[in-house]
Amino acid sequence: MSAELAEIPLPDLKVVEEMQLGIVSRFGEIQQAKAAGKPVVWASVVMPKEIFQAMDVAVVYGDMLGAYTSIYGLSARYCQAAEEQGLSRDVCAVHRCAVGMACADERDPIFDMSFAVPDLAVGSNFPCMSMSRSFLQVVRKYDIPYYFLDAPINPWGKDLPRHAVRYYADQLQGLIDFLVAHGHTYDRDKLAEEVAFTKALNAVLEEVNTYKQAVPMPIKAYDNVIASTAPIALPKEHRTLGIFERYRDELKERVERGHGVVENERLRLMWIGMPPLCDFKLLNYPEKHGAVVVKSMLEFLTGFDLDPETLDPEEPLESLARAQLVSPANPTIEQTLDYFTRAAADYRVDGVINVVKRSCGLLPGMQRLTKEAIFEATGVPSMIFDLDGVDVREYDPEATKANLDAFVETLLARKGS
Amino acid sequence: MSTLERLQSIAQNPARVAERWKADGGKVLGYRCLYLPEEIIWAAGMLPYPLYGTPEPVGLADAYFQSCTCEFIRNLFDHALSDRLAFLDGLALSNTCDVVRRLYDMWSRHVPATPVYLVNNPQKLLGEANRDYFMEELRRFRARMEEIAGREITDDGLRDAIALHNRTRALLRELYALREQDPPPLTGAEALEICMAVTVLPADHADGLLTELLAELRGRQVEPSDGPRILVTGSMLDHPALIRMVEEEGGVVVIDDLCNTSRTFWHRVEDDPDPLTALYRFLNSRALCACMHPVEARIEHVLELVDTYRVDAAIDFNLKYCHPFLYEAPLLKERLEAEDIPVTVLEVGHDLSGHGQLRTRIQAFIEMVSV
Repeated sequence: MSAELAEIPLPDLKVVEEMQLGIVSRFGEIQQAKAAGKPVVWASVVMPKEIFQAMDVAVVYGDMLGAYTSIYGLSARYCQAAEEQGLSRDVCAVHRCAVGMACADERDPIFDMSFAVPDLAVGSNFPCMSMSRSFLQVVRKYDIPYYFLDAPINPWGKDLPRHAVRYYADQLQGLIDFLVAHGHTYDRDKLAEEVAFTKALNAVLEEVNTYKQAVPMPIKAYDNVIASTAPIALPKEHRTLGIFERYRDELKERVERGHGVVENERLRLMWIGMPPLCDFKLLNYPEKHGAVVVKSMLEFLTGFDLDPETLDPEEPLESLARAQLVSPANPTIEQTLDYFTRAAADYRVDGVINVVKRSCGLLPGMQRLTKEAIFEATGVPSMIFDLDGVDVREYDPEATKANLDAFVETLLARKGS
Repeated sequence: MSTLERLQSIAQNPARVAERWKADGGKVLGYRCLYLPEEIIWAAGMLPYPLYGTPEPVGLADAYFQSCTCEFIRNLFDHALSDRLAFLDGLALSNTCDVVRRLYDMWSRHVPATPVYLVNNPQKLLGEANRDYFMEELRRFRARMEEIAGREITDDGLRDAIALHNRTRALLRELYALREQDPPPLTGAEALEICMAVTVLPADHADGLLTELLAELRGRQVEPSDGPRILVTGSMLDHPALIRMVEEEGGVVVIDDLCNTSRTFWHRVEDDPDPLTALYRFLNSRALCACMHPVEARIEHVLELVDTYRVDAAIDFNLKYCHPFLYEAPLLKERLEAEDIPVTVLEVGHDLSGHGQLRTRIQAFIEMVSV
């Protein structure tokens, strides 16, 4: 099975190119683990990675693999494979891609390194029902043990009640116990080290974010997305503070010399909703109008924007529980609105692109609420439109570009440009 | 008018019950999904009112929710926006699916006259690892209901409410036991209407009607049928049209596994010195919704129903865009087919659109399983 792969933009920043190569090399680790008889675990990028890293778990991030099928232009094939397993075309395209990838009888050679048949699975209801259910198809296919991580949603805001933190910390302990029962070892000190590393890393990322708030924007949208996945996707030997400090320093250098990714930056945009994975270069498309996407939803989904003060290596499980429960990705809407409203102000956003794909269960409804909240707080307008940038069968590039062009032109007129 | 006809009339316009309760000076607490206890609402002196939709196209709510979301929830929000739920003194939601969670967000902001509360129940049930957490959520729910009702919920009041609702559940189980007969003395469409009516009625009134109904049905003469015995499953069917369609095409709907029918009464609250603990154990045993884990518990429950009701075939009516049940469908189908139970999974709209095509598919399925 082989297919022509979609064109993917080249990174603009040297360090992001290094990250991209590192991310690809991580897949070799999974194959090595499998060859050595180590259990491979099917899990998700939104689960606390510190536990997997501390226990040296060989993880296949199903949702990330699903995303890659779309990035490489292969989502139609894998969505169809999932639909042949009985999944409706109305459920999340990312998860259909992931399930299709996992359950297909044959895969494209490009996935030979990145996929290994899982021996265990971890599912969770964070942040949505698709996450809560799709992994069961993989469990069914391979008849493997699984653990379900039950995360309370958050109607309390930042003031989390003790019983919720305690419950979720116990759930994380249950995950650890499950992994130990299936061949892994656990050392609390190693977990504390990983939490300490994430804390230190996110302190560096806070600095990174201050440079990304600069005018003009020093990093292209595509690079921004790749870098935001790096904390999860890089293999251990590449996931050093050093590489993120270099990232910070490259941005700092650009900001200090006033380098922007477009020559005459006229507009700054925020992207809410799944970016167009099957047409990734579209993220950089607004540049033709002098517009740059300066912030996207992926940054909070991957924990890039986690407040380091939330983490405490002395209380690793409780602080990981707390961090996840207050994440903007966790329903209900309050943390999300707070996040996007602050981002619109901090990043000096001129307009918000707010998209939803037909098969998403989590985001519909969020568009109106974020539009209202952002406008009320900052006067920044949003444009809402349907965009399935995952299942290429549903994607209309010309309509999408027309929507972006129209919105950008409206914003420019509003700005008096 | 027979008791059955009275109940059917209530099912066709459930809001009348709530409006009458309000007119008599009572308070009405709307709720949705299975994971909050009506007993607490009743013990607060309020009428627990499960929200039902109506089969018309969504209007106002489409300005808030995209059309690619659950039509049932959009329909409910439509009702709220058009003041058809103005009689509610509050709304309680349980932590089930993405769209119910989003309804909480939308309602909080756009229906400010009716306070909304979310019971943040765990989604991993059966084991007692969630006990401390779920108990605290139930304590908080109790406190909030006291605030809305303006009165204390005593433990004795809670015990009485539990006993009353257990009686209702037992009567409904008795009613459903009649459907094991061949042929059953009531149709699937009638059973759905009865359940909808009973769930909106004050529990003390419902019991009397159910007792009368049981007596009527035991004396009912029914024509024998050689149609296949059908299990209907899915999320919410708040209109009997689809079940009626199955029966018009020759199927005998002997059992339904839906959020507004058997799931509401299949378990009982077992005794415990602490009534809140009793309610916790009851809700924790109710792993019947596709939002909950372990999914195996729900599938095993369906297989037990197949066995008890001597089911020949199953129809899974999946509400369009209902993700939890859409994901579950292939798993359930595989297990049922492994037991030689033919299954058809049909995605259906809440507003009765596309019923012509559905009828053709149902007809073909019934013919196939009748051979």
